[in-house]
Amino acid sequence: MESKSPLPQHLSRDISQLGLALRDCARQLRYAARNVPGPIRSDRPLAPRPSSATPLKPPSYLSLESVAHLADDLIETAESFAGHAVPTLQDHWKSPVPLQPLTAYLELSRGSAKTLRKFSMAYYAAAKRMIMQSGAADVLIFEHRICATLEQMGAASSAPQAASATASRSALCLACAQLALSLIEMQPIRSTRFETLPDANAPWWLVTEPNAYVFLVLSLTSLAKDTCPSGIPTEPDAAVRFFSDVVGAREAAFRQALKGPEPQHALSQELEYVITHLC
Amino acid sequence: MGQPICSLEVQQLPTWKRVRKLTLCRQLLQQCCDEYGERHALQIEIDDRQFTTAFFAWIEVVERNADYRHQNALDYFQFVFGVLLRDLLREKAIHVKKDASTQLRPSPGNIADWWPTGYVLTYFCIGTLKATVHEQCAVEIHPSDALSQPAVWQSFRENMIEEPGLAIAFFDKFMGLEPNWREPTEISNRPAVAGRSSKN
Repeated sequence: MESKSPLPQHLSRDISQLGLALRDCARQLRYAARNVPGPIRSDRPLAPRPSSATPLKPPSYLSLESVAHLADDLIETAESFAGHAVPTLQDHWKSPVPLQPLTAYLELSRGSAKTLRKFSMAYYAAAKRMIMQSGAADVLIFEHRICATLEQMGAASSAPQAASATASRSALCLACAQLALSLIEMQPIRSTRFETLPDANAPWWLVTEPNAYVFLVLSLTSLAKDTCPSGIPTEPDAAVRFFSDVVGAREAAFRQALKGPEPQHALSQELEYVITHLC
Repeated sequence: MGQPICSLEVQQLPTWKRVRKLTLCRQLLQQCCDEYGERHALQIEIDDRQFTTAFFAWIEVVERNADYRHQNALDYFQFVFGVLLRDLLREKAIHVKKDASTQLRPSPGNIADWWPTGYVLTYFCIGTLKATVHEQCAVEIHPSDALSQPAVWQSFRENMIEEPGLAIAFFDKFMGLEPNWREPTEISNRPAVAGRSSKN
């Protein structure tokens, strides 16, 4: 089974990558503290004070609450060490997250680590917001995996290839399919906790394959910013809901494309089919 | 029954092209809902999620049967707009605004108030069909008397609950065509196809 460790295979020479890995590490710790069943200090009933004067023994378990605080401290420490290279990120998902056109992200893919962070920050926050707004109690996403996806895409394509990716709608759909597939393969969404069925067009798909559903929605949202300049909701949350409905309505076709022998080609075709019928 | 709703105005982009785009099709339906609201003082809302599901289900049928258009364009459009009515009704793409439903005083004689969602969606499909046939085939078509008969609407509403596919047959009846009551969803069994085959 694949390790859940958030540390990248090769520690980046760039301080911001290190900061990102540390932050994901802390996020994992905090998620575990919130979700691993076990006694929480504040949940335990107060024991009656013994009549004798013997001092109380300290509790023999590690409080999950204190682990969560530790994780928060760790995030703060990582941020202070990383300094200006790591902008604050914690609450980005709590506000609507505007996504850029796909072409803008493709241009970023061959930039520096700091440039790549613009993509990973947006997709991390948008993914978390989409999942939380659909009714999740908690979610764990590794941002560094999102960042690495675009970095790998940039490293794999030359400048002329990148230029041709934006030349036509078909080429853009192909690039979008590549991005979505790479994100799905990286599995940045590590865990979700739903206590009720999500409020989504394909709720079981979101529960069982959150990476597929969420990153298809986000990639399609970016693609449509290039291909459908009008008619699509402009408010970020409304746009994500719109594309969540669209991807959910085509769930069977998208699933078939992802599981076929040539997923990139099939997914590209399906994305083009959807885009053609949008606006 | 009063003035019908959803009489589409001529636009730069042909109706057939608009109705096959999710956002533009929604705009057309919103116009019908607004028109109904103004006439009947009752708010009808589109459920975006259900509308999207219905739309993509419909588009699949449109594309799967595209060849039939070359054989009989009029009947092709008649069929696909019947399917649109079925999918929009089946998915409950529109609904009466929650706080407005208490205003309803339904009586079967007044179809528009008795079944607002069925009324709006049926007139939406009639409006888009008429405009499409006018633009694509240069033919004017008109609904039959069945459209003003409450008994037909009652039967439509009751049967539709058990078998949504019958919406296609009722849509044919409203437009004065002979419906295929047994297999309304099968394009190959449409009376127009059967009639054409028997002549050959």
